[in-house]
Amino acid sequence: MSEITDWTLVATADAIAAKKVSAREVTDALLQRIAVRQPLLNAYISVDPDRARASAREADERLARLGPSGPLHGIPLAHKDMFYRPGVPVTCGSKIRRDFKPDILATVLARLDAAGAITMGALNMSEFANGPTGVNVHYGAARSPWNPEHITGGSSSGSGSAVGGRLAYGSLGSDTGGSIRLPAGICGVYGIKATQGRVSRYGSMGLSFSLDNIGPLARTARDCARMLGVVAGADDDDPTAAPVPVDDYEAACNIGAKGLRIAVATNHYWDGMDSEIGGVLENALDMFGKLGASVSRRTVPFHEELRGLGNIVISSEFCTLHDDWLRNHHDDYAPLVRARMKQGYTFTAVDYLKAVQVRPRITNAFVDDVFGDADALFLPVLRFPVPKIADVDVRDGPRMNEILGSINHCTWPINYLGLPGLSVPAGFSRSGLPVGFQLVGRPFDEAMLFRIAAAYERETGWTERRPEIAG
Amino acid sequence: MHEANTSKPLWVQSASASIRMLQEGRVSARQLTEAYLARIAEIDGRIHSFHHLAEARALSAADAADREIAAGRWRSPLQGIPFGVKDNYDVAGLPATAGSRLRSGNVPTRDARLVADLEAAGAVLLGKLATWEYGTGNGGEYFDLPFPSARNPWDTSRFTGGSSTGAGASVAAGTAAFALGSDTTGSVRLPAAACGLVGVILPQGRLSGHGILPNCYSLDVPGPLTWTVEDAAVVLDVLLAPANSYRRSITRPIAGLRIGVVRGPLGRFGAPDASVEQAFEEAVRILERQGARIDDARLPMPVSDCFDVTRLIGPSESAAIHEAELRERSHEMGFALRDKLLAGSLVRAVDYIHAQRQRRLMADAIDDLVRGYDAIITYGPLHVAPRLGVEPEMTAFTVETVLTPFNLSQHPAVVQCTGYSAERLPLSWQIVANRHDEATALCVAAAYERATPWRTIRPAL
Repeated sequence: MSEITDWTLVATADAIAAKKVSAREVTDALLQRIAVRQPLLNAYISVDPDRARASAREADERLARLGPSGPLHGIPLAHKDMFYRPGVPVTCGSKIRRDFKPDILATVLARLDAAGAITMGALNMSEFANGPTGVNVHYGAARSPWNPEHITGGSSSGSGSAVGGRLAYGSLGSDTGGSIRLPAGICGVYGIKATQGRVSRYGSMGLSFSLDNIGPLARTARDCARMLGVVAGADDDDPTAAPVPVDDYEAACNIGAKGLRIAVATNHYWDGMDSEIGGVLENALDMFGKLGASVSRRTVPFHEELRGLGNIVISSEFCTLHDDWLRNHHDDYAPLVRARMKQGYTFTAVDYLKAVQVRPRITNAFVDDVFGDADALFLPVLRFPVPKIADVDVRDGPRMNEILGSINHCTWPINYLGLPGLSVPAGFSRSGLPVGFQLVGRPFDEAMLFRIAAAYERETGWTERRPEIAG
Repeated sequence: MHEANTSKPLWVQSASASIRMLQEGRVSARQLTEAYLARIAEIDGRIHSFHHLAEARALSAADAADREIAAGRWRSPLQGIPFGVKDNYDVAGLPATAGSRLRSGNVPTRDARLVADLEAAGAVLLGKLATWEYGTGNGGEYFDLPFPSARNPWDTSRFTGGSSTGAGASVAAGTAAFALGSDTTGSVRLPAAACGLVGVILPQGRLSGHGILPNCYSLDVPGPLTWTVEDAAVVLDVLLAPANSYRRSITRPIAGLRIGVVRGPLGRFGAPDASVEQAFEEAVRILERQGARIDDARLPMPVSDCFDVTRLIGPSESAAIHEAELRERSHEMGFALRDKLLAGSLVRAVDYIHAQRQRRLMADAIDDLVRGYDAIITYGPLHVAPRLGVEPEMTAFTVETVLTPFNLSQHPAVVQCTGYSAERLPLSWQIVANRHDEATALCVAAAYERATPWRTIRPAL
């Protein structure tokens, strides 16, 4: 019998609901594993065993009395440390908020609570969600479960590390330029940045209110689909949460990919592709053929514009949120975060207004062009093998923009478009580090992405490989 | 055969009085339009209310209105009533220069929505009214536009208020029975105040901005300027077709209405002119005598803070809209527009975004205030109309007002005349109602107007 902590989220939820295993047993097993692996991976900023055990006990009692409260009953999750719960510290990966305790409850947490989920603790992240590597000067870098000398990607670094390292069955992260998709792809798990407005952001730390997204990381397509289904949907507390009906993402995982059309972007996103990584991705594309999907290769428009426009919007909005703190807590920021922030002060209101106003037009043009005859767009996550932490810890040095830009090269443009993007595990490099691809879809067509990913997963089984670490 | 009342010129009376004469057959639409055209010929050389007069077109429309009336067909109460629109509105086939050299030769092919609606209602368009360049400005007057600046009919050495300058001058002087202007941070209500008129703004979206040169998408609203509250009610009835006619609503007594009187805080702006304040207090007493329940109230922030926020939002958005013109043709602009667009170009993104966030907080706080009452009363401008182009009184007049809070908060606001100063310059106040309850603001304004003689006095040009 494989260890409980290696089961999928869905399998564990089924087992708990069927009383084959108790929530308490699952939580205890996970706490034991966390105790061993956390010092190696630094996925958690804080673990709360007492609270987790108490929640597990309540879950078991409720199960006995009333049955499962929802599709995540008794499932231990852990989230990027940026979601607010009254009285519970939320550091946002920062020194400035080391002692911050909010007084509101994030809608996404409320929805997970209602579905019966348990929280193990708070996960590591790039400071204020700003940074694609997972390095953090205040809490230490999160480390890849596949090789702890290597990055997890960021900014949902602890989410990637914990889910990949089997220290949580799933995790909520956030993505403004790649911060769910990068750690998911780099840590060999699924992560979805849904359509802009698909998931409520009430009660979560903001980075760029026009481009921020919240979404789950999880080990399988079905696990990820289940979590998205729980948190997605309109919210009176978040007027930007779209009142679009939520699809049955789990059911979409059963349909299969036959007849679907997948377009591969050959320009920009494939530039400088490492030959080994390119080979892994080509294997994935071959697999789509076996699944009955057709693959076409084409160039896609606007990547230069999307890079620049996204930069204007994100940095202007980030600077506005942090303006006071930058004045009063200047030295409490990591130099890298401060340096990236200062770029935002160079933009004028006119720059910003134009960047915001052209967004719907560019998005419509992109969608009409790309999805006119394709159901999904295939992009890489990283174009090179997962780097070592030491190689990317450039702080605010002269290579900062180059290194960071190379990492979020394939993910960044998608946020400005507001389209959904799902990271899918696609294998491993020779060095044993994960390789992933992104599937990007039409607005609110997350179900299509899960449909393709689940079919691919059934055929390839990458999610069954486990990291070789103690515990 | 229509007999006109020749004891006084037709332009002296309100639009509503003309409507009654038309409906009673005592005057024809043609006679009415001819009367306004004659008035224009008589005095517009001194007040410059029009940029472009469309005489033949107006007479043709008047004749068409008369033919329909003769056939028993009335499109609306405004049938046959002559009006003007600010020159930033599009009228198919007429110049739409927005007061600017940059748009000389611009002749649109489609009407602005409100123009189409009024003409479909049978109203008679006289032409395009004077405006500050692009319907905006920096608060000053520089006499550098391709048209002579409009003059205040109450004292032609003085400012009409802007940017709907011609709208203010025309309705006061009788060169139009009513006018449409546009307001971003006061440009309907300020000329209404300076020229002794009624000026109304509604929340964005109530009146269509289609076909009006945009200034600031976050704040722009169109609005009517009229001689009386009843006139404004009729115009809004025609444009909005509310379930309960405004014209009927304004006859309701105001006894029992809870009215918050807001005298401040005025922040950086200092005190109102004594004449403005005195007329304000007397007007409050008039409402009280009619049975309104008067309470003292305060804005939740100094009004100058509201102004400061509009000064970050408005010019930035204008600069974004008109970026190409600023880059390529700034040398052809008047000083005010160039100055404003340059200022907007320099605003940092962080300051603009911060201002929008502040706007939201201010709007919520102002709404909390207004929701405690049926209406609130505030000053409009704090000063009387200044001498045109003379500083610092020009800029003080346009800047030091209590108009901007309600652009930020999107509440309906009515400015009306509260009397005249010793120099016979109009005094004014502003009545603000809850969102979607402009009828109450009009009702309070009507009750006040009925109790006062101000509408019997026209400028002695």
